[in-house]
Amino acid sequence: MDFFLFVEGPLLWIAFLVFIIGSIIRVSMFVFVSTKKDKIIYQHFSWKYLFSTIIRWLLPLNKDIPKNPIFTILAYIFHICLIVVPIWYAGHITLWEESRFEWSWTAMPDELADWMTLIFLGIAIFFLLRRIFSADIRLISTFSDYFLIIITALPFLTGYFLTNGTLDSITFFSDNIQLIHMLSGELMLILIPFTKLSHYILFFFSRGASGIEFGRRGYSI
Amino acid sequence: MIHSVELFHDYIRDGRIKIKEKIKEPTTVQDPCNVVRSGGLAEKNQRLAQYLSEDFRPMKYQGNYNYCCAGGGGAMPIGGEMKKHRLKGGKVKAEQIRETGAKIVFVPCHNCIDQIRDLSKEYDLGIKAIHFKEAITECMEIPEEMIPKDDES
Amino acid sequence: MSEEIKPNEIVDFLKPRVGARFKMWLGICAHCGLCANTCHYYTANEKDPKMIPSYKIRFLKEILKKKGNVDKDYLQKVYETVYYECNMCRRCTLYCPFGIDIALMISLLRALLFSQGMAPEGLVKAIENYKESGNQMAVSDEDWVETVKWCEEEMAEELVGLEIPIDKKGAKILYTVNAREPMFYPQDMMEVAKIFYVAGEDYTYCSKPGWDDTNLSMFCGDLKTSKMIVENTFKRAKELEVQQVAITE
Repeated sequence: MDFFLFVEGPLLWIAFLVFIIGSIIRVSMFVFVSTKKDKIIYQHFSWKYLFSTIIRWLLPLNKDIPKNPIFTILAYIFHICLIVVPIWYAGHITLWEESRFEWSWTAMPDELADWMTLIFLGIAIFFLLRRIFSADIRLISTFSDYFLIIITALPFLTGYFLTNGTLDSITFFSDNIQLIHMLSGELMLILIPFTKLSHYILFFFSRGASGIEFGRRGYSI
Repeated sequence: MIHSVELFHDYIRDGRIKIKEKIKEPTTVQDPCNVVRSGGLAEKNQRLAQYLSEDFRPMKYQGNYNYCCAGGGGAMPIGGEMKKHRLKGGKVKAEQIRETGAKIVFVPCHNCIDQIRDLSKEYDLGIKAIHFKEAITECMEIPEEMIPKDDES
Repeated sequence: MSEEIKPNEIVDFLKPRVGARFKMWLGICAHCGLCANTCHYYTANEKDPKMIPSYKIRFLKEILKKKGNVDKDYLQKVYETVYYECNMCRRCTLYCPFGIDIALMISLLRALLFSQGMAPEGLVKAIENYKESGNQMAVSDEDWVETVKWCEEEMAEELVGLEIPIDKKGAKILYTVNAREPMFYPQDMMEVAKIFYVAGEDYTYCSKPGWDDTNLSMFCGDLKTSKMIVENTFKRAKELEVQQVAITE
């Protein structure tokens, strides 16, 4: 059971630290290098265009909605589930309460969490199939694109199995599903700063930079 | 830096130039990438076209989100080697123009105008592409004192 | 591998020019494909996946990854993409969820090719002309002034008292044209003279280099010439103490 303790303890710490520190490094690298090589952003800096573009694209107020409605709406739902379920799932909050931080917040109903997980997995499968079967997307896809969809979906899949006992008839899974669930979550956290998943935070900087770039031409994108 | 489109628009808006007669044929206007998307003149460009026409028909995606004519980014001045590609790429623009049913297309850009004239030939659009200048000089009111007296007799 | 191309030259060229934004964009592009149907080349070529904007900039990522170890054939492929398949119109940027500026990266690739001696002949010719005469058509200053004078004469017959000022100090606007106008479309210059006269605009042309507002060197990333052209115009604007520089349609 040593390995379980490791995954539950130190590895979890490592995963969170890599995720947080890695993200901070990615952001500070951007800020540091951009002040030297992308001075144009700061010469035309504008909070107005920075915020307006971020808000427009965080909320479904942008031009992609009418252009590619199905994909964009699914992408919004995908991201909402991805953020909401891990944070507000009751089982996770219990762990935070029991941790040294003793943090606590209101949980979402378990049934909702289940549904959102299934929806999330459905969309993930759709994205994966789209990558495989659409000639367009297949051409621009790299190995990491396929890999990261699976990495992102695994914690949800294993989490669903864990809470619903779907695979409990198989001894290996009934013994280890919690371990696999934690490992998959930790793997995802660790990979975030090093892959395109870093867009969770760099999105704001990328949109901001382009928002300012077009803002200096007099309109908000 | 000020672009002609803005100057001309302001002249008409401020009444420095008065329009005697608007163009009767259906018109539309191209949004050159350098003037509109990267120049921020979307509104003035369209309004100037409206000042000059009785039957202005906006293109689909008129404004900042309009398509490029495929003559930009150096495609026109590159010359022969590029011609095939730009005529092909311009198909989207040609269809857009055809959709409006316009007979006159205002094109406030030298690159775009050459390209759109080529597209008109290639895709048989039967349109006339003109600069705003040309339309303004034809439509504007000329003050009495500027009209030469000798010609009247 | 061709011996003409030195990887370290490519790396040295790219290093100072690949800024924080480029690095970030190459890193976060999710390859979602939303840019595909924003590109007119994609639509016009029967939705050819090779025309997807995101795909076109893979070259920059690859060259950086290979540390400049690419051959001539590879650069030729880059050339065909960045010139024949992109007008740098930036429409894809407006539809990209991350606002990734593909055109900016295409222009860096063009500049890289230029540094390796690869550029379209048409643009190279124009650059020579700029360097020689300050305008893309190699019109001499004398011919230019003569054309302006000729336009003035023609238009003075149509409108009483019409003048086309040249080098008028303290005018409000310095008006610049596309060098194709004196060469092929003097009609354009006459029309604008008419408009300015009726509107009572206080403007002037300048007689020395700087009157051509085109900047074709920019399209192949020759920033040195590009800078020279812009500086010419601003020098004239300063000399003539104008408030604004106006550019033709």
